[in-house]
Amino acid sequence: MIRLVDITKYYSTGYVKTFALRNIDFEVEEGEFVTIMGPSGAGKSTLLYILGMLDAPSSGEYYFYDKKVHILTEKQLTELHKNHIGFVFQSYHLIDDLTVYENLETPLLYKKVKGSERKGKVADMLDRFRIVAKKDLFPNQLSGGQQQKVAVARAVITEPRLILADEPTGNLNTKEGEEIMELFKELNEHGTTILQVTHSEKNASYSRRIINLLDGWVVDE
Amino acid sequence: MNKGPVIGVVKDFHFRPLHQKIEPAALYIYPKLFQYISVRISPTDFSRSLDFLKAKWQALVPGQTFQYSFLDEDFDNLYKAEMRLGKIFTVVTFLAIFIACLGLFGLAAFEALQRTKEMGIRKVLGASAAGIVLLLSKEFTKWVLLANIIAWPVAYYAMNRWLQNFAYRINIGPLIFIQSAVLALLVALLTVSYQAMKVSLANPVDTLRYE
Repeated sequence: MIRLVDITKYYSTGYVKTFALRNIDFEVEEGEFVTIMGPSGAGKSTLLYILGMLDAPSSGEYYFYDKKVHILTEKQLTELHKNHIGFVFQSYHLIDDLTVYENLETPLLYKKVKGSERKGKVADMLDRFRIVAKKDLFPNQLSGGQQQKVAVARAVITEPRLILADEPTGNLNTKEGEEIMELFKELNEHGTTILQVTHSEKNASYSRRIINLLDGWVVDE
Repeated sequence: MNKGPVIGVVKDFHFRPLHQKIEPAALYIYPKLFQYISVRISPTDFSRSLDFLKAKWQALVPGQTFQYSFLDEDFDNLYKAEMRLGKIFTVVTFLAIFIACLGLFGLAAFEALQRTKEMGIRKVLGASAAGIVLLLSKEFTKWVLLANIIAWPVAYYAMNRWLQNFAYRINIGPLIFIQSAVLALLVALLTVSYQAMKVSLANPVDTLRYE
């Protein structure tokens, strides 16, 4: 499903090139649950953003369902990741001015889903994640765990085949973190491919494969 | 002085400043008592004409100073005050509009900056750059329209009050309000879309990465 071939990412400041990723090769099959681990600065988030098509590699090839992502235009990229990839951030990144309901609705609006269908999908999500009572609240009225649940619901509402999570439990306490990881496990069991970046060994244990990054290199699998 | 044959009737003309209505007037020729002589002189080489008149005057009434003024200058002076007021008003208006535009620009920049993170999130969720520009612009122009609606009655009242000073005045039609609304909207749209475009082109990777 995902194939990275010799991916390298660097940033140039003046004449100095700072490498974030070096010669990364790796593959992910559909339905896998993979964890990317490594110390800070190892390049994990960079890798995730490239996988999510939010950033482009400096060199190398990225195949998503055998499509050459590295040569697509911005518009085509948006179409692709909007339809197939859901993103979960460490800081939730919900839109503060919108209610929970509206936050969940937003990705559907961008997919041009019709009104009645939208209502149905949002209601379904609220139900599945047990947050119906919170639908008219604003993000700043929710706890961290609840916000992250909404963020995961938002990532999942478009039924993506791939979920990318960047330290999803980083800002949560143990119990809240467990709840989120259980959600991921459940999603994975239903066929969603999940790639997470985390420091936590505990989180990593939910997955079936671990990739370690160090200084931009894949160190072991 | 109370009686005499009417030798002519002239059309109404403004012999008083435009503030005042044209009132009934009688022009009479009474040689025994006059204060002014109106002389039409050739515009070319009028200094010679003036010298000639001066010489004649001093010959006829020695001891009386030769005083003269030009009718067009006299006329100008009547409206000097208004002209000055008009100029000042124009300058001040331009200043006010310029400052308002600066404010608009600053406001647009500020709002775009405030919502950079939100726009980054929307891009991740699938918003196009055009969609982002549209979203920011739409909300901003709503405010400008509201400002216009508040300003219209105030401006109308102020203009009316000033025009009351004149017996002869123009009518304030709807056109001028529409024109100023259009101008304000244009400036607003230009400033907002510029800022919005900057935001829409920002990479969400940069705006969302470090919290």
